[in-house]
Amino acid sequence: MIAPLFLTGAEFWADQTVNGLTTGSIYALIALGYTMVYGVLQLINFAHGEVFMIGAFAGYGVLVGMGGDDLTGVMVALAIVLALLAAAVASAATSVTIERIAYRPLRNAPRLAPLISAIGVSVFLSHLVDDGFLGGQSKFYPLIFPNGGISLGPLSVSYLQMFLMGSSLLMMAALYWVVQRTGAGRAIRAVAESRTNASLMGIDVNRAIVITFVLGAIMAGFAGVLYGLFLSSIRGSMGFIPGVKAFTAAVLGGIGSIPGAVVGGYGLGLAETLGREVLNEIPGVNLPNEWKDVVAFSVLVLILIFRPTGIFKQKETKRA
Amino acid sequence: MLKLRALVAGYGGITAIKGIDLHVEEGEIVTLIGSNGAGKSTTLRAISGIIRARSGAIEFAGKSIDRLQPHQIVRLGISQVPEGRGIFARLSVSENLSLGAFQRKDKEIGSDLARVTELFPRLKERLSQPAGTLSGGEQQMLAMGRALMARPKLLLLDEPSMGLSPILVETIFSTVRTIREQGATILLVEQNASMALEVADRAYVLESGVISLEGTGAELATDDSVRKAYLGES
Ligand SMILES: Nc1ncnc2c1ncn2[C@@H]1O[C@H](COP(=O)(O)OP(=O)(O)OP(=O)(O)O)[C@@H](O)[C@H]1O
Ligand SMILES: [Mg+2]
Repeated sequence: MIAPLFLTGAEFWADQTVNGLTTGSIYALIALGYTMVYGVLQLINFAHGEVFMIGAFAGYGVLVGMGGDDLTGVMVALAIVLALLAAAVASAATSVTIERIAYRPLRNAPRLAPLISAIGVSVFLSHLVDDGFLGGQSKFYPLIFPNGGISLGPLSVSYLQMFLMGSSLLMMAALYWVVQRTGAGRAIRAVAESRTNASLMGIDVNRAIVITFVLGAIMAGFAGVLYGLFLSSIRGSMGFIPGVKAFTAAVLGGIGSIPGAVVGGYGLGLAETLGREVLNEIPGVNLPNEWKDVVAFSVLVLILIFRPTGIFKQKETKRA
Repeated sequence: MLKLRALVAGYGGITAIKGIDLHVEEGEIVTLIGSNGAGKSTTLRAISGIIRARSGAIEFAGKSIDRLQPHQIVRLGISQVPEGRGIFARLSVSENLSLGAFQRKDKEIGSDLARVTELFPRLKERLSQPAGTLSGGEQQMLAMGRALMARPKLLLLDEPSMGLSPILVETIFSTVRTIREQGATILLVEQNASMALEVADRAYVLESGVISLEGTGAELATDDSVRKAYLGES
């Protein structure tokens, strides 16, 4: 029964798996911000996709400013490192501003209010960049990353894919360390369980919430640059689809759970890439690339119906 | 050390405490007793800044604290073990204890941790376990141990004996004495009036949001109305 699926050959499926893990890395990085903010505020930060977009543009600015397509040698590496740093800073600043202006004043409002505020910020930012600054045009990342890659049996991975997957894993490991091993991380986890009890420990709850937004935004900004390096074309509305997919990944993993966001991100990347190709194995079916989105959002609907708590269910904690 | 003057506080349309005057002097154990819904927890919440005083004043060490945020009040040296213990179930026992010392920067946190685990040996064996897996009594020990990690000048305890077996209640009350001997001042809210009046230097009785009686622990323990209402005697 399974055999016909592999008619296309091992190499093809190995490629698709690598592609799935590559997009999965980006989803996982973005999903971390959704899940952490949800953890402390029970808020779906719908503007998080735009935080990712701002990071992509900040990185673009640095790369072009440093010479764009003319960059060579070590300067490429330096430019990419600076682009990633600039993206982290720009995304963090954006996210902190959004929290301050659009969410904090609504902290004690009915839960729908900050959600609507979030959607408003999301639409505002994507249109501001698209219509306000770019006049509906896309921008293109310079193609400076060294070409080529390595092959191992049926497996071939480009250097860019290796960089993308490897640096994402490093960022996630760093985040895990901050959350699990530092005082700020402990404060964030305490606030996620109970704001009142955290304040009784001498924790400045607002500060812990701001740090949460900053950490999530750093991941998203980083992902923005990786996205630009990989797909080149960026625009103001670019955050929407990856944003909703990363949100799906967070729900898939169990929103509020950090390991869940990572597993959900890779899981969704693989599911949408391999899912379309599996469907394409059916004789007479030839689905275009957009069908990835159909697969991804079908996953969202199915989890919401059958396992709304996701893979890593979070224990209910008392709210105070 | 702590002074409440004509303190009024509540929730939405409810006025839970209606003009309380109360003071706690350095080194004292003062208890606040009263029946369910009298406003005891509300009083402690107002002192810690979790709810805002509607009117009146709260002074600590001569300074007004009723406009401060909860974390600023902790920094001044007031820690609270809230009703229900307030432990972080998903964090480990040792993480809970180190959160107690969150606002401290000195070098003696490690030796305080040793002191707390000496006071509560059961915690020592369970340091890496999620705090939510502790028994009720162990959670109460954790909550008190964690409050000690803050080295509070004033410790507010909200019904520390609630739901514990008589033996554990004894342990908790003897711990309250130990904490005082180590230099902290204590404001103790209790339903267990007989135990509370026994350890307390002074006591207040709170009824429907107002103080109806005050005196030394011994005086209130022999007061007829207190014996009837809170010590279960007819
Ligand atoms: N979060 C809240 N929202 C609304 N009303 C509240 C809230 N907390 C307490 N109250 C009300 O305030 C009054 C005083 O409550 P409080 O918790 O201070 O009583 P208590 O003396 O601590 O009682 P207990 O011994 O049962 O703990 C009660 O009438 C209670 O219903
Ligand atoms: Mg109470």
